[in-house]
Amino acid sequence: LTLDRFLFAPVDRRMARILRVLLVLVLIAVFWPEGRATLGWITRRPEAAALWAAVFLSPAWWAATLVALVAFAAGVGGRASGWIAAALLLPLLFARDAQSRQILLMALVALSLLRTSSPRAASRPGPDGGSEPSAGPIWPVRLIQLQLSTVYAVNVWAKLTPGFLSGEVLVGLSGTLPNVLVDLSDGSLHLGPLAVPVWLCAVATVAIESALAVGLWIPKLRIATALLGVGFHAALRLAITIGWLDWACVSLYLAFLLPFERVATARAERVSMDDSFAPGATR
Amino acid sequence: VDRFVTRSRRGDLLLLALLALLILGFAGRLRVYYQVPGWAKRAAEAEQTSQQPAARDAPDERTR
Repeated sequence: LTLDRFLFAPVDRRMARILRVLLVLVLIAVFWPEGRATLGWITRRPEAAALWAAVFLSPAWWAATLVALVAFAAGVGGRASGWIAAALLLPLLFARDAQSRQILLMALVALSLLRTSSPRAASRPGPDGGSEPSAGPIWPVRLIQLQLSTVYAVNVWAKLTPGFLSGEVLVGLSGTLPNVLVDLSDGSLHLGPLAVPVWLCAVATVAIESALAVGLWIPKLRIATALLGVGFHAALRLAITIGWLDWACVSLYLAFLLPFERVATARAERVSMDDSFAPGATR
Repeated sequence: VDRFVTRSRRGDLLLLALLALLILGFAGRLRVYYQVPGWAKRAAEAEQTSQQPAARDAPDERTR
């Protein structure tokens, strides 16, 4: 695997379209306006918050955003629709769930760099002989993958402290934060009759997040790592409420799981082989 | 040109580097968010703030 192929392999347009549609669905769910209650730190300045809400939480703003997102999902308007949607969503980063929104917005920006085409253009044969041309080089997808790994790696980095690994911090958090749903005050996580020491939970969390940061890059471990990630986030939702971050991370697993490169490359290889066996082909 | 997002591979690499830096910069912000001592500190501050009126109204232990 050369760096050239790693960054510039052609992306299968159908896979790009699948990721685009799914990303738009998640974006709509995560950014869905819930009124003033969604405001985050901006509420510290009441006048600014009122103005912000009047503009960016208005039905007109959300309608325009929805139109841009749906156009992007449908491949209408090319890259511009994705960038317009990103620009319209940008002010909403000031609201709650900023972290998950930020991750998804970056994914939208990256995915907007891939080429789209109208359904009519898509039905024409592409340069590789397939039914559709490539969606461009794969590096925007690599950015989405990098971001997902970075999120896990940053978590691991932040948790690699004696305080966290001993379980002390988790016990403290369970007693102080309202979004922690389990009681760890006696130093154990009670799973029915089983009492798991908190330090073991802390170490397991760090180990799993380390595996998620690395494992998705290894093709042979990809499916297993994704399953581990889904299980991890499902378990996490029972222990702590962290907004949409779980959904944002899990939805981006598709950037690793969809065969962006394989299909386009295989098709190109098939066409190349067909060409070489075609009558009159130079050998 | 059709192979690249920009008009050249160099342009693509430049854009890739810029966006990667942006992602890493955002990750730094996430690190602050996830920094465990930060969590604990913020939680303790929140707890202290929410208890302040009650503490003001409560009789001072030292006066007993």
